[in-house]
Amino acid sequence: MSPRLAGLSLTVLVALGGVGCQEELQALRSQQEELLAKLAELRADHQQLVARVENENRAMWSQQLCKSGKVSEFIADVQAGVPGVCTPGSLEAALTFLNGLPYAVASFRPGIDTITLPLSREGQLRDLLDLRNLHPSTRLVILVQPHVENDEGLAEAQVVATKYLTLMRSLVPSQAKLRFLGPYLLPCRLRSEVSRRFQGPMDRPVPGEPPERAARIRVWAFRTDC
Amino acid sequence: MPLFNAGLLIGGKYRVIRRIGAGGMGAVFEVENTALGGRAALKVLTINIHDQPEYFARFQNEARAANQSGHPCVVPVYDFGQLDDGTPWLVMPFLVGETLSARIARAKRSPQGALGPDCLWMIGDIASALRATHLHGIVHRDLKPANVMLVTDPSTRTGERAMVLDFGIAKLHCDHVTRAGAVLGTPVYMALEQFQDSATVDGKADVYSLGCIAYQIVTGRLPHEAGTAVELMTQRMVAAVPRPSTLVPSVPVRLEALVMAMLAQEPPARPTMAEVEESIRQALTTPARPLVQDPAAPAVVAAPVPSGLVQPPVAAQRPPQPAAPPTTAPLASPRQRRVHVVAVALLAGVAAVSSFGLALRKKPAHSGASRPTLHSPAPALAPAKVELPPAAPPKPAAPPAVLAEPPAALAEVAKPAVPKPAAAACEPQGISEGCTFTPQLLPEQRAAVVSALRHGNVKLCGQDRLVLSGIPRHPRIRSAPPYLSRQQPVLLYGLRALPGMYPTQVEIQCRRD
Repeated sequence: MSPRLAGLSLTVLVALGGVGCQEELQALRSQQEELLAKLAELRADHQQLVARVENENRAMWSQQLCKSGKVSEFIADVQAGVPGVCTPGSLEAALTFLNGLPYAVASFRPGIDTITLPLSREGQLRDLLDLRNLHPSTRLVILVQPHVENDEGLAEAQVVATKYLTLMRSLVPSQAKLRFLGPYLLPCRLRSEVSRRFQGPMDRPVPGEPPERAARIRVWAFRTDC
Repeated sequence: MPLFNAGLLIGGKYRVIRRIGAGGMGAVFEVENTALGGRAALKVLTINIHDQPEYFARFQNEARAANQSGHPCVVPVYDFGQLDDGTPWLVMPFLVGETLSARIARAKRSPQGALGPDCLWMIGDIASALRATHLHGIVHRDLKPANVMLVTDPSTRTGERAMVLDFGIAKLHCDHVTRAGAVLGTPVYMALEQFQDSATVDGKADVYSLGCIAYQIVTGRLPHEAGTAVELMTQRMVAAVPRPSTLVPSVPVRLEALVMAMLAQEPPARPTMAEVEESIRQALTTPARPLVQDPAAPAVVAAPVPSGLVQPPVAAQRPPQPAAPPTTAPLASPRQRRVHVVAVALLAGVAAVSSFGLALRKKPAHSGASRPTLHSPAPALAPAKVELPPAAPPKPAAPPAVLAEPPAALAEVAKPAVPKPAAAACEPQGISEGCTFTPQLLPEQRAAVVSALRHGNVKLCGQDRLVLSGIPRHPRIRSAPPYLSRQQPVLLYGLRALPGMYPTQVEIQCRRD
């Protein structure tokens, strides 16, 4: 075979091989696309499954630990309400049974920039957030009562409660996956009702907090498994 | 009674997969929840409940008791129902793990012969679970290693969690099922008072049973070993419990003191379940003075509060091992001993003539070998009428502790000793760093305690002492002068906020010369 013929043969062979590779490559590409699509489906299924298992787990814990249908209804009402503003009706009703739940409370002077908790308030919060009492179903509901019921007062109460929530998150044990609801504003007109329902020693001002008759913003954190 | 073949649908949603275990009275099946998916364990009573209605009540009791505590170390019951023929069933989570009895048996075959003090966390978990059930007025009455499951739990330090199951013969506040004089439980783990009358026992009976388990974990042996229940009961009355250190010399003295206190013959001499849990918790979370490693430290439970602020270290030393005679748990008074002897005689008679007497039978459990359970209704002793509890749904648990009060467990312990704050003979003064504190307290800890005491507005007279414990996780006022109430939520929550680890007990005295 002459060198020229040999070169031609080689070119033809390479060209033919190239055509074969192209087809193979195309097949592999389509196979890859199929696999990626399947992977996406599996991922979506997996996420759905994880969410379902978590929901079922929460539901089972809740079924065991939630002993009050009223609290369940309240939580459902709160979740259905407009974020940030809870319906006064459900809040008013809630006060009749919320004091049966474990809670922590704190009072703050209006007009402060940073919030700090007195020692016993921090301890109360730490106790509320003790890992042994936190379950997959546990949620914390934050309620705040402004010192005055005008736009500024409501806005300031919301800010203070948000800061309280941030402080609270810093105390939550890292292993716990906690869910928070709120902060929700409690109308001022319920002040006497609140005082009547919450009369324990820790409901009174502790050293470092504004006295009872002074203007104060009060924040409650209720722990529930409903 | 239908055949529980694979595929059988129970309660409309539980499909039987396989049988896990069976006993004289019931069987446990692995089932699939067809409504929600996932596996569960379904337990059924296989005896004829029409002939023995009290078993049905006990079965219902189990569902009720397990759910009232809501504790993560108590195996919950998800569902309860009856088949068309009245056979009751209940559904529990399907636990993957092994029973404590299997673990103990495995350890017994090992060169060490016992699990050892490293497994103290198991006792802590069980004590925590039973403290919660006791708060709800539920006494387990059949606590034994076969009723404890060790399940995987990556969230714990050990990677495992001990879960208490089988509240089948638990005693609730409103229990009408147990006849007076009836004997229920597993003899080798039963307290003496439970041999006499299971209907009247309280949480201290569970403390005794847990003491037996702790003893077995530490030494690989039971406190008393006998061939028959009557022989065992006699031993409970008259024979000394060998100190664990006589069997395993390396057992720390504080652990030994705790176990021996739990095995005290008289219920009042035993610690409460809350105290047991607290001691174990402190041992596991206080590396500086652990129960399992500190042979020189004083006993946590049953040890009197030291009278002085500085304890002479020699006083707490363990006596030289070879010279230490095997001492015993306190024995009954002569009068009580006479009562016990009469009880033994009566029981022995009943055992001889009654077909019910001292029947040792196996109960259905999840898995693993189970020690025989003594179930003697003892009709000759008390032919009382059996009253069944109303077939109402399980009573809701008591509302959880409201945190506007001191932590529930602390308040409960403090309650019996709460005197009305009396007027002080002197004029109490505020606490300062110039007061005398437990010497083990570091300077920054002293400053933090002073800050908490000031925050709680605590004042003391010169001659008086204030003793605090459990700082910071479970602060408690151990001892206080009468003018100072033991319920000081502002102080207790203040102590709860202190960072770091503190000595088991902190004493304060403010002499002003």
